[in-house]
Amino acid sequence: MRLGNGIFLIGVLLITLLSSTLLLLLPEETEEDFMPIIKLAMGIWMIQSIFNIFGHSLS
Amino acid sequence: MISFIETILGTVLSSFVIVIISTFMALLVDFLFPSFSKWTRMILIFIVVIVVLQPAFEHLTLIRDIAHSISMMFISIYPILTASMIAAGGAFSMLNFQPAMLLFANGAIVLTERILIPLLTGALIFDLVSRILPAVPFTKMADLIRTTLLGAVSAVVAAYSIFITVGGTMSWALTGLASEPIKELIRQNVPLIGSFMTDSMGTIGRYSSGASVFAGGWLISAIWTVALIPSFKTLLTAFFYRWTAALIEPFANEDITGILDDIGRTLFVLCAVSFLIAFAFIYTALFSIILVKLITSMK
Repeated sequence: MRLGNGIFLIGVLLITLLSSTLLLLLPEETEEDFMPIIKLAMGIWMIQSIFNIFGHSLS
Repeated sequence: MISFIETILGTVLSSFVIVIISTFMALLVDFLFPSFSKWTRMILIFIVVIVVLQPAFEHLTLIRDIAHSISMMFISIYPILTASMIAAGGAFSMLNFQPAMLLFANGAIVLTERILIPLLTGALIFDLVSRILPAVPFTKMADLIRTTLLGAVSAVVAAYSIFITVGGTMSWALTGLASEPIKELIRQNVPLIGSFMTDSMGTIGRYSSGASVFAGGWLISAIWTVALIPSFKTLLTAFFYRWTAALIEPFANEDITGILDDIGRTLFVLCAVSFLIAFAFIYTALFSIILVKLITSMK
């Protein structure tokens, strides 16, 4: 198990960088609306990675 | 020795000077343009990450390369060692050299290369991510990885000492009252891995004092120095991270000092991991030396 050859970590890093850049560009008042979307994206990525690392796959 | 310290200082200190100066510049920009504070924070974090992460990743790759080359050395030397152990017959039994121990040391190196170092990289990235975006924290995960790694490494070293003392033929010459204050000093002053360091030093020392009858004290201290230089270098760099964090804490953003502190902590764990490699190297080197000594003296 090498954390999916680093794909998991790279994904986490990319989501963080993209969303922090977006948070900088967006105006202050939309920040609260945007935060749940970031959390949702991170959650989807983590669950998908867990399935990838520990689950069966046909490919 | 002086030039050795100077090279470490040169590579590490220059990047830390950049961090300190850029923190100060960010402070000035914040004072002049308060409305830009969000941008300043982000740009400062990026500068710090780019500049400061380089020495840490250099050490990670250094330890990984050393682990790789030592495991290659094991693979090449193992058949010769085992064959000559069989040829030497009972000569090795009095020295408490078990072939299982050799295999165990090799296994620890493979564990380091395959699992421990990728996990440490993961801990480093999790720390960074939770500092860049505080709303999506990974701090628990990073802490869990670090403590688990430290526990695994301590368990392996404890198993080493059980392996060595199981025959009861070896005892450490330095366990007297003289070394206790030094041990206490290390335990108190090195954060996170202090007691681990004294314990593993005791294990290696217990082993090599038994071998010093055959190999001589200076040779053993030479092997010790060669094996422990990467660990020492990593330890010094980790301390530099913490010192810089302490130095810029009064005027810097909390995120910056947090990043430096976290990288320092990860490097302390890396230092503990490198002890495993050092131990395996010392074991193999002493083993080979004693083997050659036995062969040349029994002809």
